[in-house]
Amino acid sequence: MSLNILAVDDSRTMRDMLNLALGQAGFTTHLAEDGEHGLEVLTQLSPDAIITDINMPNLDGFGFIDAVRKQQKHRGIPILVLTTESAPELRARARKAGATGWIVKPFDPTKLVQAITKVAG
Amino acid sequence: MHETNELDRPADSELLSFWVNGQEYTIDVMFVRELRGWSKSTPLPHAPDFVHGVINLRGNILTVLDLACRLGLRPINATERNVIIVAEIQGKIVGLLVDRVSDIFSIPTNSQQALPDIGSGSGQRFVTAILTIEDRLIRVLDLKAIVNVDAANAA
Amino acid sequence: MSASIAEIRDSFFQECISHLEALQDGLSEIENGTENEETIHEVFRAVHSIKGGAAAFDIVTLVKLAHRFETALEAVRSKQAAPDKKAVKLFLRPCDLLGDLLRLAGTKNSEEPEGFRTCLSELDAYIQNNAESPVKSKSTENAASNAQDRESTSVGIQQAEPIFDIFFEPNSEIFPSGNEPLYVLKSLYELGHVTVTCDTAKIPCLSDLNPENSYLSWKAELLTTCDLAEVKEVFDFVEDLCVLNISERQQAHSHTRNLDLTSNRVTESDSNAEQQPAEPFQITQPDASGRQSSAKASVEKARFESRPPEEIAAPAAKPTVRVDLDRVDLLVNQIGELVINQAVLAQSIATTSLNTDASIFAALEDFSQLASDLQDSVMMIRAQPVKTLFQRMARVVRETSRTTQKDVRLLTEGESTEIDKTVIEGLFDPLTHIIRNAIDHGIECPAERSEYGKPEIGEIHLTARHKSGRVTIEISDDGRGINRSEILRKAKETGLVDQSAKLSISEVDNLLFLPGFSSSNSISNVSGRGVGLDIVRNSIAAMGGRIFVTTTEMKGTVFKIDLPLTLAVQDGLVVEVSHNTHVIPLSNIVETLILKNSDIHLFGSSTKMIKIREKFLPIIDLGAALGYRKRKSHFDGCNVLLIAQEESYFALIVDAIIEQRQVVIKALQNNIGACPGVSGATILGDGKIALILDPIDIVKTTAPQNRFRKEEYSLAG
Repeated sequence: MSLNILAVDDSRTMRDMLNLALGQAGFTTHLAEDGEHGLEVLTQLSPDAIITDINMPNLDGFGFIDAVRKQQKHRGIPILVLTTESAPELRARARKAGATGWIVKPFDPTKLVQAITKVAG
Repeated sequence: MHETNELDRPADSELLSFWVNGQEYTIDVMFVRELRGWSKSTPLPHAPDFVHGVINLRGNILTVLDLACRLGLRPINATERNVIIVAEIQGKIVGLLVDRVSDIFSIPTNSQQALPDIGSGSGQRFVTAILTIEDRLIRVLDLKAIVNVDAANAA
Repeated sequence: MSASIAEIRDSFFQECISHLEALQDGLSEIENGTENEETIHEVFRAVHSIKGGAAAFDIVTLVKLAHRFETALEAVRSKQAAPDKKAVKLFLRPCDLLGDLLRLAGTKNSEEPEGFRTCLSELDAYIQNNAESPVKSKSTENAASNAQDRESTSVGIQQAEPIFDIFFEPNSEIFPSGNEPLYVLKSLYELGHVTVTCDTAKIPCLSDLNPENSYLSWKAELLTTCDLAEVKEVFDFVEDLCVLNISERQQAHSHTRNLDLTSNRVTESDSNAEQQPAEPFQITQPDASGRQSSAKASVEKARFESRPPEEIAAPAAKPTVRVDLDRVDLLVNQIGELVINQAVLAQSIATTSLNTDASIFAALEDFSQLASDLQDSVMMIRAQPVKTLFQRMARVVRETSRTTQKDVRLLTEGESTEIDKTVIEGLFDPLTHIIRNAIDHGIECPAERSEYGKPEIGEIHLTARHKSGRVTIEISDDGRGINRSEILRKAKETGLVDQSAKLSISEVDNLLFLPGFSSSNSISNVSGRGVGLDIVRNSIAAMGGRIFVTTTEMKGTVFKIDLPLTLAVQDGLVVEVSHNTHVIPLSNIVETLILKNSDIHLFGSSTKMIKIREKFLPIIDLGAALGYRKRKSHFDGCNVLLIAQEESYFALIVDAIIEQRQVVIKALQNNIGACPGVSGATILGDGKIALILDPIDIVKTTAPQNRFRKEEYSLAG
């Protein structure tokens, strides 16, 4: 059974790239444009993993993760953060916010899939 | 229904009673935020007649309803002796202009009598029950209906 | 629905254009000497992003140039080379070439543009001159590109397969983070041959077991061609949530490297390590500071969380703090009170018989200036550019065009226009509604459009701009427009308009906002509009705004929304009408004057108008319009405010003009009963409430008998 992945990013290019890369790897992808939209999607979907950007309008990645972790239903869901930088502070912040791991942009599709298998089997 | 209530020994309701146009009414004190003496209000042009006006409640604008008028009675000719009950319901804060406040008393919740069917006079739809305490006849008001103006306008 | 590669490619090129802009801006800053530390990072990131995308789309020439360019820039970024004029001159060439290449790639042409080779060799020469040691240049190049990365590391990997001994003991934080040790260990199997043993000794008895805690630890032996960094990468997400030890054994040698990841320290057990240039660890972990240093020092400094600096590519955001909106609102309110308080003070000082040159007046002047500046500053905190709103509208357009199967493009203008946050939020629903309607009913299907000679792709323009202290949002489409005679027929049929009424064009258009139209289905079938526009108008009005519509058959429809910049303060004229104090927003008022009998002209038996600068304007007596008193019969000597209404004016009679001042807008709490013509209220210096009026709404909703506006049209026209 293919894994359901929710990808949240405000950049259209990024969403499209994620959609393509995940689709080619055999995942079922669901897309959201920002944290708020992501939460909306989560009311109707329990994905196997979430990939989210940090800098987004309306509700940013940190706020989004925080909100997801507060929901009993999605408490343990693996969440990967898409980040353009891998500064330790940023990772620490992502971790503190409840992120499972991170993917550095621009991502290599293979790495992306590896990261997902590392957290969602 | 009644029996269950007896067994549960429900907490008493605390009610605030007041006079409007020679009749005594009451609402649950739970809704009452404060009581204020009447002060000159600013009229709202083209508002429904039961809207007495707006007053400055510590920097906020409070709409005051003329309760008599709302109940279909003669409008109150307000003076310093009148009282404004500041009530909060469903997140709305509203002032109710009444003649005077009379009493705060407790009664068991289940002792309210259902309203006898006495037709549908304009004020009747706001009265949910009638209490008799000593010799007084006190009407229990449905605050929600009073504040809910849209429904009133539709009626 | 997934976008095709071609579509992604298109949007990549669009993004590249903005990267190119940032690159050019940055270079000219350096050229002018106005750059700072961040400028160089920005320039670098721009090139880096272009390269990243180009690699994904396999645009070889672009990658080649961008990679060289990036390496050259790295020399400047790492302060090995100065960002001098000469460097900028050199960098402007690849910058232009990148533009050329992007254009070429856009046409799917992979040839090399003119000067490509020369530019490459110039960059190479620059890199050579500025790279002090081969090790540095290698590590820079290595880290610069994913593709290159793999190539050069594979060179460095030793042929003999090393064995890694791994000890992995997750702590209890691992599960809340969403990580699963099982999957992490499974990933090890991808690297090579693994033997894993699990230590269950720490599992407590069932009664003491907390299912959310981790009690297991694992030992793994991994035989792989991968290097230490790659092995370590498997534990990337969990390294701070566990005790992790990875040690490397060379099958035949005694060379071991011990990594104690929990303390982020690297210990060397082989002092000869630095002499082995092919040691994978050194290559993949360049010194984070980017400076050249001894291999030993670089190893000491290396942190496993730190990536090569090339990857730090976040946009240069100004430092910000996130503040609870409630706190901002509290501040806004308190400053509002301060402004009121200042007014009270001014008022009471004015009533004392102080000498006008008393120093207190100067101090008071300063105080009022300060209060007003403070108010402006706090308002700015709440202001936001409309960009986010527009971006959300782009999504609405995409989704609606998909469901209606029409090709529609959204063009926006004025994205940086700032409005109060609450106003922005309040605009979301109305704009969504208008845009959906425009696509669903306004814009024709592609076949129909080409039949009419219109381009197949429909267009919706969304613009925002500031205009005399207010904001105007315009939504226009190039669809079929609305059949005006049909609207009028319908309005007459449903009794919204008198059968004999003659309406101006704009009056007909604006009938669409009448509530009666919302429930009428046939109009939306015939003309395509009218569903729920009254709701749109109401929500705009609730924010103190107004909405107008103009439609041209076959050409499209334009909605214009006029809004206050902020919902918190307003400049207004305090006036008195029948002993009631009111505030009229200054933005409505064109001028004030005092009427003379000679200005007044009689039309028909009773309609009075005033003549100002050769134009006849209708007269509205505010006292009568608000129901305070009967209409005045004499206007001689009356105070009049000229109010702008769409493209015309009318004269509003008031009893007295008191003062002009800034007022703090307070919402009419819970708005019991509709109050037409009243947009809010404010508390004056004496604590009394003054209603803030919307004169245009007063004319529209409270004085329907003032139908003489039609005469004005015929006279003015």
